[in-house]
Amino acid sequence: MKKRYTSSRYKVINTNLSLDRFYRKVFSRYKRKSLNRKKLNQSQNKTPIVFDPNLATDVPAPKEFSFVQNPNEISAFISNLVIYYQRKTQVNVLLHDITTLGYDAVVVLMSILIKFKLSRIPFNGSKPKDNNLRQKLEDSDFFYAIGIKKFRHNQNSIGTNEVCTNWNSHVEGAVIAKLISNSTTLLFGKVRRAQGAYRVLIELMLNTNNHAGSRNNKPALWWLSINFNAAEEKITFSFVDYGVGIFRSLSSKKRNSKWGGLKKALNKIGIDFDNQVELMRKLLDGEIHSLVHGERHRGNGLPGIVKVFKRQQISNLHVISNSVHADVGGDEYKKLDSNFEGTFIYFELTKINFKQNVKNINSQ
Amino acid sequence: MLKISIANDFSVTPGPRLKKEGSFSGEAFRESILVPRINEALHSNEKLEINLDGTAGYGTSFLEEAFGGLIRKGHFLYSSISNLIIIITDEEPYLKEDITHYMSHAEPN
Repeated sequence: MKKRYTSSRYKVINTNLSLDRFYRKVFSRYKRKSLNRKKLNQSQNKTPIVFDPNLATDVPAPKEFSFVQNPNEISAFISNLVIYYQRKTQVNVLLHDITTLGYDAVVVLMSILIKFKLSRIPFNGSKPKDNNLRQKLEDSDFFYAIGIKKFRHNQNSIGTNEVCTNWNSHVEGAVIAKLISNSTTLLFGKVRRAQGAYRVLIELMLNTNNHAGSRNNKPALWWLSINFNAAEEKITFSFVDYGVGIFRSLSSKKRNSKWGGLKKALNKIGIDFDNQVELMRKLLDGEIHSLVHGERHRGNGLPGIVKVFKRQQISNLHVISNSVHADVGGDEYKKLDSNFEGTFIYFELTKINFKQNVKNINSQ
Repeated sequence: MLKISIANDFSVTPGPRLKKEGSFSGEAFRESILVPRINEALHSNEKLEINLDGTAGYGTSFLEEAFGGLIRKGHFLYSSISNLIIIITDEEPYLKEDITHYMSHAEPN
């Protein structure tokens, strides 16, 4: 008996039998699934998305295509796209006339176009006429990201540019640490830790998961674009969440919730809730965080980011949310003409920020 | 003296506030490492040295939940552990002040 079971003939028969069983199992699973789909009246093959130029609306991008440098026009441009998205209208995004291109605006455009894609609304567009800008856009991961069918955490990494998102809505420090080590390797030629940038990214992802969700309480999707600028020896971080924005998040709370009394409480201390510029300044300075959250131990995220900036662990911090643009470094807080539905944060890491870290260590 | 190194004993990438928000949270650190070691230190009448160096960094939520949570969640009274814990941080010295603030300002639920 033993000889029979160990013979090569037995092994071949047994292998064929197990393969047969395996294929039957897979096939029956497939049949079961397709029967279930039929019961649910779902189409098994979705119709492909076809862009029709006759139905599409042309949406020209602002010539200065940088959110940080041209926040007014970019937020108006994005607002237009959001309107078309809500109306499920096809769009043709025209980038051919742009004269400057910032990765910060690219990630914001990318995030809205992915919303089109996920809702199966066809879109198209034109590339910049300028060769350098076209190359910069092609290098930015933009086309790769809008072509992806299914997103995963830290989806991809290509050389000097990196785009990632939170498909599983969890805050993973290991992912952030990897992103930072990838970028610092480009800046220094070796891995360096950047505790300030790590804190900022943790807080941003956490804020998005906890506060940026829309009415259905689903966490908003965030996008992070990290780019290495070799000429200026800096790494730029552009973070965008398409939630509801800081101020709409505050005003959407129910009247009887602990947030509901916020307007009155702010009025008591002489802050007008509707003055978003002033409110943004106070929020970032940490003057009203506990008031806003109703819990003393919460709400340290945004003030914590500003602290990191003040300790010079990051540079050139910008915050854009709803109708406010805060250039924290330049201490300029401005009202925007158009509302940006979400929150956008931009900051840079340069070698000076790392020297500051060393200084902190040496001063002990 | 008892010692905890967050990088060696917990994670080099400390995460968010709560377990449900992601891996290596402040809540997980407090419950799995901090509270048992503080109890051990109290019983053996020893100091507890907590070394924060060697990690990728810390979010404010992680630190608040881990250290402020000791008081807020009613594990200990601030007066009973304020002299017990020694924070070591050469890389981010400002964290010492932050942690003291979180603990001293926490109110038991």
